[in-house]
Amino acid sequence: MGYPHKPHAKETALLSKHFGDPDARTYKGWAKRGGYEAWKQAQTMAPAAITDVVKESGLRGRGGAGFPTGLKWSFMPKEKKKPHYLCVNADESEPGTFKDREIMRWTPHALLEGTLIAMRAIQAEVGYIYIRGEFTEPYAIMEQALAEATKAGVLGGHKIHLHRGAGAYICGEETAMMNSIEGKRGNPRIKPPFPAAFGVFGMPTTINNVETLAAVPHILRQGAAWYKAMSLSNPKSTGTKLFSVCGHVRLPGNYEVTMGFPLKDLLHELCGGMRPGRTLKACIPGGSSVPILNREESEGCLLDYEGCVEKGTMLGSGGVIVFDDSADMVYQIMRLARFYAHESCAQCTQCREGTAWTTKILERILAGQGKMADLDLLLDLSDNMTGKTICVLSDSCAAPVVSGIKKFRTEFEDYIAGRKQPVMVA
Amino acid sequence: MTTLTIDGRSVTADPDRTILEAARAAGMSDIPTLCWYPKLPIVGNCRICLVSVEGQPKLLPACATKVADGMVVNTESHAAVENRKGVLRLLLERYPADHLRNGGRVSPRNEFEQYVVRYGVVPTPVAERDLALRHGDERPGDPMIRHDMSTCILCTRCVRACEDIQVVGVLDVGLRGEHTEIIVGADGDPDRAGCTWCGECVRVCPTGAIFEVMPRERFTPEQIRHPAKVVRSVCPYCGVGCQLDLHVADGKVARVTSPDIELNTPNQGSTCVKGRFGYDFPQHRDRLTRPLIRKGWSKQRGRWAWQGASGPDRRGGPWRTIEGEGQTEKPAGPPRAVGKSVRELPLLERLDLDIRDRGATPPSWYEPFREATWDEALELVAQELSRIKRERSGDALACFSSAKCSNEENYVMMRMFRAALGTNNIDHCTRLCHSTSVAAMQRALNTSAASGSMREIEEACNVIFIAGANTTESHPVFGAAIKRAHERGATLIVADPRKTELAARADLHLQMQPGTDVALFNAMLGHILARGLEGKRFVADRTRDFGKLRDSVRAMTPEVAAKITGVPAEKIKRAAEIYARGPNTSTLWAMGLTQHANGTDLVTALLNLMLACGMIGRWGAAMLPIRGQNNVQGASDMGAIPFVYTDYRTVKDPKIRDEYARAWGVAPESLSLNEGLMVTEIVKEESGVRGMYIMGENPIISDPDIAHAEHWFRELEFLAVQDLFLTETARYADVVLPGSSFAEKTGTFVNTERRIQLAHRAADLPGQARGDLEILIELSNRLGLKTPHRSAEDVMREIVRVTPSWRGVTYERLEGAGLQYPVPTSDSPGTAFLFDVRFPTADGKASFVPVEYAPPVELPDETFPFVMNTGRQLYHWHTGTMTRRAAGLDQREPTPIMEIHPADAAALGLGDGDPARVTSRRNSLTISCRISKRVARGQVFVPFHFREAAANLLTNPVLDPYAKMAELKCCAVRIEPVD
Ligand SMILES: Cc1cc2nc3c(=O)[nH]c(=O)nc-3n(C[C@H](O)[C@H](O)[C@H](O)COP(=O)(O)O)c2cc1C
Ligand code: SF4
Ligand code: SF4
Ligand code: FES
Repeated sequence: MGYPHKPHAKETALLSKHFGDPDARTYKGWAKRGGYEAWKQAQTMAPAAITDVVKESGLRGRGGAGFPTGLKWSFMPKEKKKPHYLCVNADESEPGTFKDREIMRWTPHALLEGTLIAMRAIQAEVGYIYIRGEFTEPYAIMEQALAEATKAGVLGGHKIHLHRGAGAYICGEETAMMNSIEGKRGNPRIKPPFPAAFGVFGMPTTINNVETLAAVPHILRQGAAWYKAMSLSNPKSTGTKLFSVCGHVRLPGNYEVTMGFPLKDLLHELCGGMRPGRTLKACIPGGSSVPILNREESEGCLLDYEGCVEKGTMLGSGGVIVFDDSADMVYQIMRLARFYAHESCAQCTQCREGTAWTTKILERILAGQGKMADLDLLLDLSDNMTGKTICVLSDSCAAPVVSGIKKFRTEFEDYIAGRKQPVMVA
Repeated sequence: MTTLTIDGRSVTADPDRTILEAARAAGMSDIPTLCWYPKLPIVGNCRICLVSVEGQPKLLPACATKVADGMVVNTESHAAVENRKGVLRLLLERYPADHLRNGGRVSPRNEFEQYVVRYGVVPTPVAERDLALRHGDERPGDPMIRHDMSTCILCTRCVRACEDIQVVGVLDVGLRGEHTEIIVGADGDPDRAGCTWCGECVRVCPTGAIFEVMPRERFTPEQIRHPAKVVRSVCPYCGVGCQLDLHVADGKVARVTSPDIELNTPNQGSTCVKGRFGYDFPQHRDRLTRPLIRKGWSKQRGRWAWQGASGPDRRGGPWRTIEGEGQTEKPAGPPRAVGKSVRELPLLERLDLDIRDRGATPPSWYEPFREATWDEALELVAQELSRIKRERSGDALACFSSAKCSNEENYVMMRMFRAALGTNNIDHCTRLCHSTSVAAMQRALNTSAASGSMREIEEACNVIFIAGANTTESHPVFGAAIKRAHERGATLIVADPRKTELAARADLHLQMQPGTDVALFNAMLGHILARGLEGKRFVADRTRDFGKLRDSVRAMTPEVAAKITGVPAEKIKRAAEIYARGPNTSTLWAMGLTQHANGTDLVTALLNLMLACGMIGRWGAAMLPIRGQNNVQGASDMGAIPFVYTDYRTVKDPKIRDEYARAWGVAPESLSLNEGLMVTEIVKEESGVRGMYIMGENPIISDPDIAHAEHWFRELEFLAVQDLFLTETARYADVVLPGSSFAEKTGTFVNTERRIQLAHRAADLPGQARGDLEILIELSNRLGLKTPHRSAEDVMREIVRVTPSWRGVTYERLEGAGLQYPVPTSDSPGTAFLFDVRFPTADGKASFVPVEYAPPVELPDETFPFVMNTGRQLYHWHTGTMTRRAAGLDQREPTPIMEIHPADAAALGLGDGDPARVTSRRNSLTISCRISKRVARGQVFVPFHFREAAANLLTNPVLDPYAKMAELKCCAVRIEPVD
């Protein structure tokens, strides 16, 4: 269901099937729709067997990095010497991404069920669902669902805590999240050690995204082969994916399609195309942290992990940001940079100083005070900021800047040369 | 072991080492680092240390990446060098760096700028930058530590040093993104955040963003940056014995830094506030620069004669007695972390006097004196000491040597009194410190010092049992080590009537009534025996008289003890079990145990507990009486006590006497075979002492029942005082000899773990002041004792000849970490812990000495309902002679205060800062209140550092029968508001 729009025939509604249906939110309603059956099934399976099914399904992390989920689970110690933890990443703060929010709003039990199955697979007794602080409504719904599930006795001895974020994007980074759960400043940790060895409270931990976990019950119920078969292009990308489309399209919203679906069709058919009289200029397919595609690249891009890489970008979180020909790319890129400058946890020199400086230079260019040398400075800075820091927030800031200058250089030059009216940015 | 290649060199390292550690260990220390600092947690945030590793797509942080077999590291790859330049350039973009713009010709001012110059990074002129300078909390008006956060590079070393070395956690990183800054507590108020002004942050900051204020107020930047010399010395305050580096400019100490954290010093790079900021007292305007002679002495026909007044005015002067000062009105103390912040209440506004003058010498004190030449002064001293000896006897003379002076000085002092004046009346303030510990340890183990080391507490012990020691204030550097041990997982049990910092963080706090320690320890022991948890093998093989002990503790059940001590029986049992289970329990104690009229019994009870559990003689199971002064151990070792020569060899044995007589070139008969009098016995009418020589001690403030002591000193026939200042004691002297401070002398000091350390002379003596050793040598010669020594090292050569357990000591060997005695031979490495095989008793066994609980001498009653406890504060030390003339320290704690529980204060109608009158059976004083939950109800705490409200006016001079220690920790008082 292309909530809030009518479902489109080309969608494959798996996770979003019950979006918009308040009855599915309740424990009873969810049970009526086959809820918690997979969990029952999982409880009869050995933890390793669950992991194997997920591994076999080809499910990859939907939080951004696309790491194979079953493989991640298999890193947890087999022999249990310490408590294990599962952290569910519901911090969804990436600009342009709003899929996890809808999963929690409409199908909270799907997340709980996936969480329970994952906890069994990794032998965790405690799970934390770390929910973005601004998500007050989803939080209330999750709270209600957890209470119902607890009352219905489905938790089976597992303990799930809901943990509210306090408004920091960086806490969506998995190791920052662990620090935040521990009550510390949300700074990403250096890796190694990896969470499976030394995670939250120093114990073996797995972190999974909401959408990743919501897919797990379906895989258990219908089998790895069924899930794996859902793939339109590359066999390494399987299943369905929710895309949150925003920006200059007629019908922005969440759309669920099979992996390998063409971006062109998503924009022009499912989303109803550009606004009248406008044409596509650029698109960021995977949330704000990935390189920008120009029109040709966008229209040739297949939406799966490999298809995006082929076009020089990444699938990321699946937040699709669309720009039509009215967009001022310099301004848009400045806004992105400003976001990262604001959200940097500021431990790493390159990130703290680089994001701030990048923003200031872009603001200056917009204000008509740029120099041609600034473009080289920006590229140089971005180079400095890429691949050198503790987490990839720094790289994320550089990605749109580098691709933006490469693909839309004349727009920058217009401001610098005074061919364009300066924009005052607050 | 792992083998890897770094810059083409094959290097082996432990697999849990990092690339950086492996490179440093191999002598390749060229990888730049900013956030990394030895022993601090690795955060890998500055990203300057990134290096290339073959097969890795990204550069890796050398400081945070573990080595691996076959790893090939290139630290100078193009990418690595470019990254470094990139990092420096980014950091410079918000750093005031115009002075670095002329391409390396400037000299870098700090660690960070050194890299800037090394990598040739040219900063953008400040005026042309896109970004503003950095900022952060700045501690405006702070007397010691300030910040210039425009030069902060956010490496967070300061945050980690505060959190992980000092275990305080004042500093943190606030905000995020470009607004990120170093914050001081939640509201910028260091006091409220628990700052102890230790300056660890100053030490680790690579840019000087956090800096000391005092040097900049007195010296030029050039003098601070390039001192004439940097000299290794030993801190003059507590017994931890921190090594310090004194930076000298203009012949004065301009600044103190601590030796490298990786060097093997007792302080491992740390200091406390006193060590780092309490160094300026030698430069105080009160310093005596010429000898003084009391007006009334004149020389006629080659002899000095007293022509002045006689009777009570003989030693008078235009001053108030300490008793009189005690009655004066006091300004309120500075606000502490209760209520208002320091910023709201500027210190100077709250006080109606210039802070600098509060503890200083009032000009009127000099009036009864005239300046004299050294020849006059020494002649007069020699004449009078000889006269009294001739007219009465050597035993009519006595001397107080000094725990603040070096071993060499104490040795020459005791040599002079014994050999030239023929008396053993020589003692020092150990009497009021650990004399009871020594008595108890002698009785049980025949030893006089700690068995172990401070390092083993931090590294190896599982349970730390602390009785009566406020370590984080009195021995802060050791206190921090204890906190680190606790953080690493050691169990901490604190027995203390006060809720000290350690008590508050302890796993178990046994908050007993003052003076009830015997009941507590006996009950713990009884419970251990009842449970069969004692160290059976140890007891059987290494101790005697266990049966007697068993009987003596039977009646003291935890339930009985609970009634006496106020500590619940359950807690006593838990503590006992944890103590006994160890496996390695260390036993620490200090003045809270020793300063009682039954102090020897209190310590004995603790030793019984320790021996019964076998908690001694292993690395990690230490017996550690924590010494209070930087050389109280050494002064005792040197025989500056009435019963023994060096090495605790008795004065009563003619054979030993012969040995010393030979060494000193005197007839054996000139040395007395009678034990001398102790400090507390000397200051008594019946002592027969008529003439005294006091070096660096201030008994008028430190002795119990001051009014009595003051009277006694006035009645003396002759008093000579050798000191830095005209102290409360010196003002009664006939002759005052200006001596030298720690910074102006070379000599050795022994810390609380028997570590002999060498301090070098750094500063020049002011005016005509002389080295303490020089004064003593000349006086010895004038008294007819041949003393040909020319230097401290010369004296040490003689000391080692007569001191078997120091025989292997030479100045050369003491450089660096020093040596822990026994050092019996020149190849002995010293002794980190003792008694692994036997005790130094005749049969090698330790003895149990059963002790019974007896209530403190003075219990609260209707007229005197409170128990007063005395002790030290963090910012002051002893009678304040030094710390009250250290500008930074005295500003933190400028006036005397009394800690009182909020409920008691409320009942008496007293508010924070209100004046109160405290009266004991002996005397009374007025003082301002500090409301604090650190004291229990019914108890008050008064520090003894202040002459304006000298706690010892009130204390009880009743003495311990063995060690002649006074009841300093416990006296009954009445408290009334003063309007
Ligand atoms: C700066 C930053 C922010 C991130 N924010 C999120 C987030 O909001 N939600 C999320 O699921 N993953 C986020 N991630 C990715 C997580 O670190 C992690 O890879 C993911 O939660 C793993 O789950 P998955 O394997 O199921 O995708 C973020 C990563 C970075 C570097
Ligand atoms: S890259 Fe940025 S957000 Fe990530 S750890 Fe470093 S400073 Fe923090
Ligand atoms: S103040 Fe100094 S030590 Fe602290 S973060 Fe800044 S530069 Fe580093
Ligand atoms: S020194 Fe390694 S990252 Fe700072």
